[in-house]
Amino acid sequence: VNEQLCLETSLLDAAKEVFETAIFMELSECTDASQVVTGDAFMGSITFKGAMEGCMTFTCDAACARSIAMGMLGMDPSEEITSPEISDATGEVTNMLLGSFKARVQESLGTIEVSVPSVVAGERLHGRPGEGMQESAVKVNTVDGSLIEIGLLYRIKK
Amino acid sequence: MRAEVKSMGKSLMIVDDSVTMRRIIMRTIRMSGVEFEKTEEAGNGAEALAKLKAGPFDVVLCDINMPEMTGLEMVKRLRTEVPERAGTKVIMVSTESSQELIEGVMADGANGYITKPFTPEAFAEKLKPLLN
Repeated sequence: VNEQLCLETSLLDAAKEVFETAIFMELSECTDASQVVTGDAFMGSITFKGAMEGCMTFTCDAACARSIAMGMLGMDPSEEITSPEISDATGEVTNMLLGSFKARVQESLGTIEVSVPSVVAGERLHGRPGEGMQESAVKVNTVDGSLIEIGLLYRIKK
Repeated sequence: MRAEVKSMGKSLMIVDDSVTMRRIIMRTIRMSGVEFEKTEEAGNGAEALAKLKAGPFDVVLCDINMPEMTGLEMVKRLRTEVPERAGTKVIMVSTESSQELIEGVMADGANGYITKPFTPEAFAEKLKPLLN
């Protein structure tokens, strides 16, 4: 339980850092467990191995992903953004999230190596833990109330 | 207020497989108060190496995890295969933050390291000494 709490705190801190520094967006923790991402969504995922192995996922609905991508690219709301641009930005958010998370846990866990991110778009997108893996997740809200789910499927090498 | 540093005639290449990240880096450099006369982009290490062989760049900002050729291999090959670019300063920009990796890439010829997510201050701190 302590390990999970610690990982969730690190996930939350990583999310806040990435959004404040790279996207200039403030986040607040969502404690309403019943909230879920619905409808068309984007999910970025990135695998990692080493002292801890598994996959991190970043999921939000299409409107939120669009807003994040436009923020990252410094675009005006009136400008057009393409789906590949949104996917690319979603992948970079996922990459930075894992980087920030890794920097927080690596000292106590040991070296973690990361892959390159991949992004899928669709409905009801969720990561599923493999055998012997654990799951940790946090939910956050953007200022406009959009929901973001950040999940961690992992196994810590003893 | 940040002091602006205009790099007279200096050139920059940003190497990252993500177009979004290249644009974020460019924007963050502008926010840091540093300006380059010429800026180019490359999508991976191989493309960057080809551009460096074709012409000089003063500063290269390079990601590590990229398809085709990683930033680590690009730095190694730049330092061994293109001696005429010995003056090019290479700063790695990556989510990788282990001390072991940073020491390794510095030993292979990188001149600095910035971790993602980054701030304008991080770029100012690394770039300004290179431009003076």
